[in-house]
Amino acid sequence: MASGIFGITLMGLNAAQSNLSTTSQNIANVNTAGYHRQSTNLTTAQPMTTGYGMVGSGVDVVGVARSYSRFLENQVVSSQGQLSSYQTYGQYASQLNALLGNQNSALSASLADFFASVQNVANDPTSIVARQALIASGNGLTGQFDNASKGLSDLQQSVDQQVQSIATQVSSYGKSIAVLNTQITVAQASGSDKVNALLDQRDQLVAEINKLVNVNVLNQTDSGYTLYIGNGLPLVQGSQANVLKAVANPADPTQSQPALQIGNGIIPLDTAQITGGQLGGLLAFRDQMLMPSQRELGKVAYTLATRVNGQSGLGFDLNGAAGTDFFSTPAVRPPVANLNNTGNGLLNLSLTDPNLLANSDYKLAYDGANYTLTRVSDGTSYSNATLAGLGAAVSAAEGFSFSLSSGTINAGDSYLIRPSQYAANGLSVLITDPSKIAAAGPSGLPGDNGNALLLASLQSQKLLANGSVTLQTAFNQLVGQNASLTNAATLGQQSYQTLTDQATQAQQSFSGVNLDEEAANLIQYQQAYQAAAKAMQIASSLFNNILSAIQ
Amino acid sequence: MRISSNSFYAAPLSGILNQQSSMAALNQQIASGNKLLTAADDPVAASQVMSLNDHIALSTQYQANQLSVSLVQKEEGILLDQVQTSLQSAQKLLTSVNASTDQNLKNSVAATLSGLYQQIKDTANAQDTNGNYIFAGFKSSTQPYDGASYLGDNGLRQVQISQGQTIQANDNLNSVIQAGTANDLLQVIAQTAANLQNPATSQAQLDSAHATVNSALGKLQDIQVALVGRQQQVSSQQSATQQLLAVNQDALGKLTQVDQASAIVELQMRQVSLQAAESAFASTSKLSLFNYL
Repeated sequence: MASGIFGITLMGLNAAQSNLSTTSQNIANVNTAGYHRQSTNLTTAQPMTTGYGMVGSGVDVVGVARSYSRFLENQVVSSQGQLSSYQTYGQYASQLNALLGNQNSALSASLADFFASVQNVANDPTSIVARQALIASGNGLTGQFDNASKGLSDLQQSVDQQVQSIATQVSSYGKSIAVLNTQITVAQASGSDKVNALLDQRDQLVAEINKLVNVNVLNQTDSGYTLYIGNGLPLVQGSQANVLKAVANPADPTQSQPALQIGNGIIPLDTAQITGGQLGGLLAFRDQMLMPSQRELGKVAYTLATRVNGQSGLGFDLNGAAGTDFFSTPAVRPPVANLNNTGNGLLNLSLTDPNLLANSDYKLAYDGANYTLTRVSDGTSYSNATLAGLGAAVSAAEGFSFSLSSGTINAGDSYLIRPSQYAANGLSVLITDPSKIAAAGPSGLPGDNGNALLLASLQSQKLLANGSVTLQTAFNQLVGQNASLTNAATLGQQSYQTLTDQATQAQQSFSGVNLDEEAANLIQYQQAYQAAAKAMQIASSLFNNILSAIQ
Repeated sequence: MRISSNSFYAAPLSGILNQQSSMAALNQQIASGNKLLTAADDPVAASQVMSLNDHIALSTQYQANQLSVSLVQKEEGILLDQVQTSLQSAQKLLTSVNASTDQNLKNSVAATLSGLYQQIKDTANAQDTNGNYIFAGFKSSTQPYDGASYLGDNGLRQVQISQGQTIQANDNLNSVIQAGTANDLLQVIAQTAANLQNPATSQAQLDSAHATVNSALGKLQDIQVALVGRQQQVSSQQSATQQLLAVNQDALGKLTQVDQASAIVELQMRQVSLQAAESAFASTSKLSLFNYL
């Protein structure tokens, strides 16, 4: 009987000790990221059957469990992923807005200033001062275009670098998760007490990955977590981790895009499926704001330069000589050959009427029988058996044309067409001699301001978007659209911040450590320990009584 | 609800941080006087601001154009008045003589007429401050009247004084002077001065000269009336532009300018709630069961 008491009290001491150590562990990890509070699971030991019935035989420590709810964890992870997507989008968006100058844009002011200078030349066509002021305004304006354009290119580079570094980081987390998968399987098999810590680490890594890119997690009992990325490709599978890479986008090699390296194969990810995390935010920013801004800015710059040059060519300068180009000829980006093309065909591109250009990229493809040009935004397409025939049709409808400059085009080849993307790059004023400004109309006489008036009228002519907007309005619309997108990102950020806070609170409510609770537990377990020790003392004195009785 | 110690600290902290960031934004608004710090704060208002900025810039340019053309008109008006005065003097002189007038008087009239000839010719060849000939059409660098023919052209410069409204900025005196024709004003006056010195001057010659001067005065008046009409057009456009500008600037002000009083009141309200949040955090954060163990 006495040995029974000793045994039971020893078990009680053990249980209290285990509880105390779990409590200490909780207190120690109160600030550890990803830590889930633990509790010691106790159960009544199997009772002994005696002649007078069942007698309790003590307490067993079953194990130490963490408070973990997959549902609550998923809520936190997914809202955090969305939050970091919006945060990243918002950061880049405000950089872009600052570049284009928000509502008080220097570029917009320079555009107005340029046309004001043209008016001043019209008011006094022989004034060298007014003509010099026009050249200065022109230089100011092209400087603004060039700055904005370079700034956008810098942003594009920064996005590409960020995609690269996110890919590296995700791969490294993936590798750690694969290692943890193995460790957890081994630890679980051996019943190691390290299991909880390993599980916490793995869940924390999944949360970190989701801040970078959205992944789906499947928990497989035998091999651990499988992480799927993009269109269902395995980033991690058991002990195997694949590598996320930033590769050149085959359609536009100047842009990087995420791809998964599985073994020796590199599979590009469907970017439409990458909707969360910093990577999701970056790609959305690039598609929704950066590329359209480059396109629209280029369109305005191209139209301004070619229209002013065209009108200048119709006029005469102060000496009666035919007018020459005021601006440099803006660059048109030739069609970009897809990296997967089997042919070596290179194409030329000419912008025939920027007024017709849609707010979209274009894709040209050859299927062996027909050439097809597709407007990416809405899928409008044109087909023709010859490139020249297609070029003519596209020129009439979309305002640009193309021709083969060298090589051959094979079936299956395709090209990306972004005609105005770099048109604002390096735009400059060619005229340095004020007398060369073509202010005079057909008379060619110094007092004639006819051509200057026509140049000035370009400001109010609706030259873009099928004759619906002026140059200034087109630029303002770009700024306005970017502002709306930024505003939406800010709202998204705010709402996902609230969701994340709520989800985190719910998760913490279940899994987090409360120090007051642990303090109460400490006392409770301490008392249990003291009680067990007292029982031990009593058992010992009982034993002594018996010993002294039989002496 | 069970709350973790981390949430217990994090929740009030994020409240405090939010209060601080909205106070920072308010401070920035008050300091800059501008309530629209970035376009993304209010995209709709920002679009209106951009459009108003464009309209204001355009109106300002039209004002400059109007001022420029009104100065040109004023100058032209003064010159036309001078021609008128000269022609009226010539008219008076020609009324005062006839074929039988005393030769001495005719000689003195001839001398005065010669002076008027020079005045009219000089005025018709007037230059602006940049040395451009005012009545030479587009050939502004060529002296238009040499006394025998017109060397300028019929070019009329237009100036944009509002959206879609241009106005003629110059005139020539061809209808008045009729250089090179049988009724060439300058030649007729010069010839009449010469004739008067000749005792054989016929009454018919004097009558014809008188008729020429009368007709020139009539034509001049046509130009003057048209000029006054254009001056009125510019002046009415000036006040219209001024009104439009005022309306636009007022609208811009309403969209962008901070109402300082209410902004400061809001700032103080936020300050109070921030202080309350901070003091609540300070007192609740002291609570711990460990303090009593």
